[in-house]
Amino acid sequence: MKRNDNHQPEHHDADDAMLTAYALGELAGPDAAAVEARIARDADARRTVDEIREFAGVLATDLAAEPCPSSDTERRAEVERVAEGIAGASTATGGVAKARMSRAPGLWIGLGIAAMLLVSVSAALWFASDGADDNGSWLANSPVAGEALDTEDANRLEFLGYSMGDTESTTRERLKDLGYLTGERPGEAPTSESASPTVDPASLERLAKLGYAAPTAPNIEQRLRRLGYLDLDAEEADIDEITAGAPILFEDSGDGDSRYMQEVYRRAFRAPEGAQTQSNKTLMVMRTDAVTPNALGIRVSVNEVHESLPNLQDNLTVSRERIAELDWATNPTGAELFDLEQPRGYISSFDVEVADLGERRLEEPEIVPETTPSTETYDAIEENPFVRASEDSRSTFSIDVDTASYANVRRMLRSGQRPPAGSVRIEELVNYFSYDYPLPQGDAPFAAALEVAACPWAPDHRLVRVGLKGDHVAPEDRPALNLVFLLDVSGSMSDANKLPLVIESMKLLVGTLRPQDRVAIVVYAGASGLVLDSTSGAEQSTILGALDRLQAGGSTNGGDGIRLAYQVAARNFIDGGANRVILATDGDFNVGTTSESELVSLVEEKAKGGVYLTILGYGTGNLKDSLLEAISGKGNGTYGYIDSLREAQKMFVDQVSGTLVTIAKDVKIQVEFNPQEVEAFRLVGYENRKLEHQDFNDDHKDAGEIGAGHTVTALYEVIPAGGAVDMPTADALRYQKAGEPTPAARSGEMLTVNVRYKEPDTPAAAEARRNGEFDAAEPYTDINGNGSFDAGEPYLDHNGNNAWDAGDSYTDGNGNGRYDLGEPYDDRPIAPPVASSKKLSFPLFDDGASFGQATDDFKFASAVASFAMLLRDSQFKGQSNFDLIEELARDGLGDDRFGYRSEFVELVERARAVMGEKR
Amino acid sequence: MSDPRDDSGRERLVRDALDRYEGPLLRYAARFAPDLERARDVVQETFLRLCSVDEDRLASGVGEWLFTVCRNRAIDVGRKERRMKPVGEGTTLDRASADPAPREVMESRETASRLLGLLETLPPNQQEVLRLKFQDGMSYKEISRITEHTVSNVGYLIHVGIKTLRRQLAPSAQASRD
Repeated sequence: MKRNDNHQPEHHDADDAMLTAYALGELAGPDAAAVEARIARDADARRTVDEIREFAGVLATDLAAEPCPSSDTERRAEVERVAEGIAGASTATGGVAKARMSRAPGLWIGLGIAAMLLVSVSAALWFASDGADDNGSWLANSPVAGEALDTEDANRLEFLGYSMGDTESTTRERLKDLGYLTGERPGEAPTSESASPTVDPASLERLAKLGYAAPTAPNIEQRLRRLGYLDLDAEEADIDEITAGAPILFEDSGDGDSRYMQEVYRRAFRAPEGAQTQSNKTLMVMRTDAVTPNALGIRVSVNEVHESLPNLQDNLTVSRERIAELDWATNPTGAELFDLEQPRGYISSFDVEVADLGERRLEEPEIVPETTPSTETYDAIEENPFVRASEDSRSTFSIDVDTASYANVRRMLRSGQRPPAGSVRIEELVNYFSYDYPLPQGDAPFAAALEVAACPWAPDHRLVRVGLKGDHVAPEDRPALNLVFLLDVSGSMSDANKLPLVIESMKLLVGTLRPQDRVAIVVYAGASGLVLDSTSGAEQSTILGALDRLQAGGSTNGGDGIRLAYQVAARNFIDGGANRVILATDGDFNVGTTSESELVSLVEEKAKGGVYLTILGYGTGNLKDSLLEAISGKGNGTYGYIDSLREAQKMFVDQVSGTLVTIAKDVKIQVEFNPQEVEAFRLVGYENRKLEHQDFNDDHKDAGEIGAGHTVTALYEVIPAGGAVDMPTADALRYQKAGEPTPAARSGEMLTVNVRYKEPDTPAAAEARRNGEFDAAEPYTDINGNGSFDAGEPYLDHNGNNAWDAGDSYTDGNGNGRYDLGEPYDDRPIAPPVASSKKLSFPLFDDGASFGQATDDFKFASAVASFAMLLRDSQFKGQSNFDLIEELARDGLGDDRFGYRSEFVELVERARAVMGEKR
Repeated sequence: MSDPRDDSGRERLVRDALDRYEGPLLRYAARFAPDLERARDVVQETFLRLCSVDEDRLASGVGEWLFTVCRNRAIDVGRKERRMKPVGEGTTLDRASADPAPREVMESRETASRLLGLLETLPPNQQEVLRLKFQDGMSYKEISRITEHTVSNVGYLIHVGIKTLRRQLAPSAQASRD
């Protein structure tokens, strides 16, 4: 069996091939015996075998070192999901198989059009397909209107790939080449009554060569019509009937002329259920004559049936989704084409949603129409009442550095809505602003700034401000960042004030990164996937590129975005760095980990491992504010609401260190009031951050974290001793007397602020929870009493070492009172170590300052609190009114370096108008 | 027909297969598919099929089955791509993947080993069988079923490939011996 096709001029190739096969261990039985006999007598053959073996080793080694291309988590996750049987059940149907068989062998890209969507007045979408056609007349029989190559035509041709660099004449040439036009054009004047184009057989052949094998004539006609070369006027008549926001016409040419009218919800379009089409997955969007300055958000989800191989029996259905935004302003040709990834199967059904994003003005989000049923959810807030100091002199709460409520309230006011009371969290409004409190001295991570003056909305009362200021971290001292962006790219995010804004804000953040910082991007929709693996901040263009691609991309398969994000963060964990997942969503958080409690405990658990969470709420109408707040509150995280690029700038550039670098965690405040000086007190806001008094000293209780340079402000409204309290007194106790004042009570101190906090996770502590080895800090049994841990000494592995440890319960088999080898024991899962907290105390005297003597910061904070109470129509608002608030705020503007306070003054004006109050 | 996905063993099988073969299959597919993205698609599709394939078809080994399906699909996609090329040329239709083309990937790798560089100069069919043999550890028989060459043809291609490489690697030594 000599073969010479590999041009090796060898005489004994077949024999030699046997030697090679033998050397590689491929021979057995008689063949092997024959070779063995040969090498026994032939030294050259022997040597050849040895050399081949040696060479094979080298080759295998080199080939093994050849890297595999990186796999793609997204795709892998999809496979795993299918394997789990969660999705992709066997949906093989005879119908699909049949459709497959009847499909034309060629692939139609760009030309094939089965379903057409005419979107409001602005755009038409074609879903490319070679769906079944009804019998129609041959193209030549159809009169053609307006075949002149005007701009419209040129735009259309762009879809076909002919515009780039082509002159109009070459474009026409190509059109002709494709058989769309024959006959000469009468000059350059675009006269519509010109000669009818015909298609000649030669053109069809050429088409076939280009891969458009054997199209039927009606096919071509239909496609041309869709492209507007034929009677576009007829279609335009339909367009005219459509007004923005009204139902949109859907024509499914796969079913001949049948048309469906569908209800449009928020100017979005959804294809009828079960619309059958089989095609490749090229979606074209094109501008029609009626041009809108608005951008369109387009979301296409398709269910693909993956064809089976001849030797396989099952088809698989896989859902995929693509999201894109088409902005006429930046894309004046109006041509956009979405390649729904490569043709991989047949589409059994698809959904197209188109949302008019409005003019792209990120700063001013669209006003939600009154008619739109909003699914925003806010928990009701029961305001803290006054408490008599004689009955309970302490007030305990966890700090809260969230600011989301302010931005959210601002968004609603600007759009002319009155914010629901539940959306106004007073402390978040107050904390939105940073205050000029003194920096800490010495080792403490923060300092307290206490101040007391007359209460502006209740002149008989005193207002106490408890301010904390986190230590400043200079940019050069900022620890390395390990960030994972977890971005919601689902359809609900397509509004201009959502995904595009997310992308822009992430870009701002990326701009501040240094080479030692790392960023990864995980997206989720119905789906999740790693879009960008952890990448150094030095590779700005890579990161920005990945963000840019999000616009046209999106994820394709289901999964669990948040878990993936944490995985990526853990994999790239930077000891001593700021490890953080940044979740951007409108709060429609129904992917993967579903229940709120599950989600909260996941986030809580990960925070203990040193990966914190920042939640950024975006958009309107669907914001699950309460959920986002709950998640961030439990998980040592921060929750911000981003309604404008300016807000993103504040969060990611102006205050980037505070946003990302935690300097103290589980920060709790307990204020003890002196009943000798204070009749009653009321904590303004912080309703959902209240703690039991004993929790203050319980290091297991989570509390808020404070970022570098962040300020936290809490206000108490205090009724001085002897003042009238508008609440009934409790009956005197039968068995005990009211507490005796201590000597300190006579000091004249009004109150003492106690603050507990923990240092942020030290690398060692975090490590102890992850490894399975002895770490400093883990208790051990010092067998030889030398005071240090030695190999062989039992130790208590905090993460559960599956061995008997002191503390594990055991069955004392021989009753000798101690654990012996062989006795059954109960290896308790050992809780991770709880870092111990530190406490700081700050007393405050009331020197009786009037409001006018208060600092700017004090005035401004009280203005914000007063404003929040007014918005909530709080029972404690007292004399709060817009004039007062405005006056206070203007008084307290200070130097207003970033202009936030001035913005507040404007917002007060806006609120005045929304609430219908005259000046 | 019983649904193999109901079998919890199938999930494990797929996961194990992903762990073991995803990288090698990608490397393999990248040599057929027009670009890395396409190769990734092909590999994903291959694994998707593995989720539902009849148990019987895996009798001669999951690896062999995967390589076989992957190869057919990759070649298929490659063919379609070539056919479509005139349409997509330099246009929006031709959404190039951001990943480097396989060729570029290969070139960057070549610097690592002169031997691999030489391997790239062999006819594709020899390269393929050599890689299956020495990179993926397939036997002649398995290679034969994957590539649809006869076993003796596989043996021949490998033999010739090795011979050429050895000669080129050490031309003087080989020459003196021949």
